[in-house]
Amino acid sequence: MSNSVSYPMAESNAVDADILEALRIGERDRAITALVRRYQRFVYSVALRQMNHVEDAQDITQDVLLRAARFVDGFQQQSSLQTWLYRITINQCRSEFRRRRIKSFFGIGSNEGEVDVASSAPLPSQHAEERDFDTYMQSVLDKLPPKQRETFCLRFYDELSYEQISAMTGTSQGALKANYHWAIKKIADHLKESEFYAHWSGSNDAE
Amino acid sequence: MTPNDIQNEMFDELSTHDVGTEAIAQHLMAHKARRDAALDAATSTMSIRVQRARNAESTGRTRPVVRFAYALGAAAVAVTMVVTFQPYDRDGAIRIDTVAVAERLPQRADNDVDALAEELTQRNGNGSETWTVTDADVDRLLGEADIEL
Repeated sequence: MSNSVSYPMAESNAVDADILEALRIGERDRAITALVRRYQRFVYSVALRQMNHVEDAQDITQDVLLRAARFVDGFQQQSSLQTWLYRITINQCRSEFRRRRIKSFFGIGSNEGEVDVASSAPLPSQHAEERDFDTYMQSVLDKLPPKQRETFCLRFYDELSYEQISAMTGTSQGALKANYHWAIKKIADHLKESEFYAHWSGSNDAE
Repeated sequence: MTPNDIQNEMFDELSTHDVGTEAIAQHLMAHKARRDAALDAATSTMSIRVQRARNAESTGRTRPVVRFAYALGAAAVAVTMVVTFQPYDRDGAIRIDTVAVAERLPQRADNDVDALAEELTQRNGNGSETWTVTDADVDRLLGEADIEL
């Protein structure tokens, strides 16, 4: 099993170094712009998995990046910026859930249960089969235990190394590999029984 | 699209679970590409949103003062109304000077807010970017104004 994907970490380190150097020499706006552009997709991706709602995830992303911009001067460099942002995002999502539980307890509005994931918002050119497959994959991921789902998504979708994921989640690399292995096994079990696989396998056989 | 190491790793794993990767690999990669495109689309305006929010933060630091002014004004009005509509005491011997109280309280509140606004302006002028009105500031100013909310 290959577990050495070097480019994302090397790229991440280089971008972090550039951002921190810009901060050091007083180019704060440039540093923050670079930080936002480099990590906005990652923060949004994490927030979307937690919130399962596009607009909530966008709001969380904005809040996280704003907080990062506010406090990045005090960043201690005990982790990568990506790890730091991941933790801020998870904390922000948990705070939001706590706030909603309190609001829900007092009966002040509630949009719990809304599910609106990115894959359910098709691009205009997207074919029905592609859209269906994206929705199907989301439903398969939703059936995974949270740790397996998060590990799989950070590995496959966000293309992070086990070392990076371990730093973010505080889970050992061995445990992450086990989670990933079980996640793929369950995905494989679902895929084998899906009409997509039957259709695509059949097509291949025919060719 | 050429699979990278992580994608190859996943396809290898899938094949150990009897999933024919030739059938599914291209669709999984296309699925990931569409997901990436959706994430990019959803965050395409994020830089602008964050910049606007930062601008609003830097120019909107006096907003707590406005909220404080409203609170102080509302308290003053409430006190004034209570005092104004306070009836004579039972014996009619004591009579509150309602007009004087009504005049004095709002004026006093306005002065306090002006002082706080001035303090904030000075602090902002000094480039103190993280300063905001704290409970301690409010308590101190209310204390100085001798007003209980």
